[in-house]
Amino acid sequence: MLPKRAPTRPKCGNLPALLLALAAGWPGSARASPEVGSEYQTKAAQIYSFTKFIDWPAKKFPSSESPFVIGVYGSDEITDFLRESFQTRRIKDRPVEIRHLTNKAELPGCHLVFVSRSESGRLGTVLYEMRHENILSVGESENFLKSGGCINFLSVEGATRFQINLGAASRESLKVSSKLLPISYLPNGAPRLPPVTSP
Amino acid sequence: MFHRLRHLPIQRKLRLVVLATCTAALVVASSALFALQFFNFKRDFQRDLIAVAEIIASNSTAAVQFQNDDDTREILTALKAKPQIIGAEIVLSDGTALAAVGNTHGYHDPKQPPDSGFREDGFDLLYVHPIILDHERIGTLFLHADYARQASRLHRLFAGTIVAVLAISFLVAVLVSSKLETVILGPIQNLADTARRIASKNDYSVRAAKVVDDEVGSFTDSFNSMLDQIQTRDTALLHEIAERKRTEEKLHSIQQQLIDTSRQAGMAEIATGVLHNVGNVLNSVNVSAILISERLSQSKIENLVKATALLRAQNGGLAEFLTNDPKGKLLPGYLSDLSQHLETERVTARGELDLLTKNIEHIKDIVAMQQTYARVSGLVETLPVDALIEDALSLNMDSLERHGVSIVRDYTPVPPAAVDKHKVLQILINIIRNATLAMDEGCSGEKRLAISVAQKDAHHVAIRLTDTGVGIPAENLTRIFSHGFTTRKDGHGFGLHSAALAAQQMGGSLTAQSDGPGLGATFIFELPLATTTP
Repeated sequence: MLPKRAPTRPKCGNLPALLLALAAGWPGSARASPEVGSEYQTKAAQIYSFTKFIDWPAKKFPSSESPFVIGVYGSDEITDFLRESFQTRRIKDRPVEIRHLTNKAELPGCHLVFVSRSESGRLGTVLYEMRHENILSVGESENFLKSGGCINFLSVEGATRFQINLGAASRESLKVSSKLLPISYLPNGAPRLPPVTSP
Repeated sequence: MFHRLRHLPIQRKLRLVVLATCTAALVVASSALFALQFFNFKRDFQRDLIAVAEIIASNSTAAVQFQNDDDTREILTALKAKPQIIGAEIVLSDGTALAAVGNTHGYHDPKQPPDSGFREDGFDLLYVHPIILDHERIGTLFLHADYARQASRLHRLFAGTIVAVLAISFLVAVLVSSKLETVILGPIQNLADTARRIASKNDYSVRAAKVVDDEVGSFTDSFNSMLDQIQTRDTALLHEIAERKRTEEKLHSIQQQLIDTSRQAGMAEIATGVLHNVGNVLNSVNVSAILISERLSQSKIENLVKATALLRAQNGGLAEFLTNDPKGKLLPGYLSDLSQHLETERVTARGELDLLTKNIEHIKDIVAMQQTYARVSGLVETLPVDALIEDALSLNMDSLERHGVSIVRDYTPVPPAAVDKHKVLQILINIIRNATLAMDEGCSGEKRLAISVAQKDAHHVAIRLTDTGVGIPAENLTRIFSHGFTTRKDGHGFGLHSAALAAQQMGGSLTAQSDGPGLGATFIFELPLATTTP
């Protein structure tokens, strides 16, 4: 069961400032424009946090040494931040491999695919490719969840928040920790569990 | 305190016992509970704090991981349900405070993550708990609890509860014991009432009613059976008292008779004593009388009568007769011889008469002494011992001479004795007479009575009279002093008995020694010296 929550959320206080402070310490931030860099830095950090509260089925890993593969589909502003973020870290005690995908055929080999904003027009086909492949799809487009994606980033009052499509996650046999749900963003009057929609 | 309790009625004592026991048990039990509570409280408090911290830390992992301060604060707000937690704060691993509620100022050092565990903070308690995700410490939870206030509030509450429980228990115990004590006290009261009634009216026919069947019941039975016995004995006692009174009266009359009889017997004894002593002296009187009578019968006074008749017969020719007649010529010489002879006779008769008078005087003394003896003890005089012995010897002299007894004296000079003269004389005469008779019976060898006087010790003088008579067999040495014992045919067994008695009365003694039959006997007569007599 999901905990009952207040329909409106309190305003974020010091989070943007905090995130800025965090971003300042990160080496790659200087390369991109400050806003874009800050946004993708946060998203890369949150993608890392998702992996801590979501479990993949064992069959998704061919062997115990198999790496955790993160794919970036579309424009690759986030790739560098991801590389930086996972340089020394491991996911599920596995080495992390970051791939920039150019071909839809490469999608099934990934565990997590970030679909960039540039692909918002082709979301249906891209997400259809990934169906039943036990892939956590993370997007940043308005209709990403409606198109069958699992987690979608959105900007709320300048802060990066996310929404979860539990139906899509369960379709992909991904186990999402209940702890993640209270963190996820819930717009006014929106149901906690958005209906699963097929493209 | 116990002394004062002793005087309380049983009801009070019983109630005191019940209440004291109840209170003691309750106080002990509640004290133990209080102590347990006291020691458990801190442990439970800490355990509770740890549990809360673990729940909060676990629930806040996602919020901390995504650094979502609103969600983190919301999780911490749930701690309102725990009034003992007055503040909470979550700090990220880099030292940045993520969210805080309540009173949480400055518990952390931004540079260094604090060690987890408890910390004393004045009267309060600070608990530090790490927030761990995937073996990585992503933050720290601080819980601030006001332990002291909570503890004192709880202990006050507990103490109050105990006091209330004690008070209620006490009241309940009073109520219950007042109901129950009648079960015990009723029968006892009943018994006590019965006993009081018996004591006040001396009515042993009253019986206690048996109400219960416990120890008091059996005590009532025993009490009643005791009353039965007392009643029986009381009746028997009344009979016995009447019987005893009758017996006492009878006894009294018998005693009166006995006193009369014994008085008569005493008089008889005194008479015997007097007669005996008088008899002894009469012996000497008799001897003197016979002697005087013999002398008088052999007297030459007839010759004087003849001579006088011869002179009267001359009738005028007296001168002729005296000068010419051969008889007349002898007559003056004859008369001279005769007068000489008569003078001698007179002197002898006078001596005997003196002795006779002395003896009669002694008889008078004996009788007088017995008379005084019947009233008071005799007169005690200070007298020389040798003079007493000589007196006794002279009173017996004729008898001794007639029996041919020689006297050997061996007197050592001694101080005078304090004695009753007549008693001493009686004793000595008795012993001398006995010795004379004993030597007569022995009738062989020399008859000798040896008398010695010597000081025995500082207070006594001993007179030893040793004869050469028949002696005394060893078995008779003490018996001779008992009343009615005698070895002589004509003896009445009174002499030595009264002699020994008299010696004792004077503070002396009379004992006998003998080497056996035929070897003589020694009587030792001890007398007190005058100096010792008060």
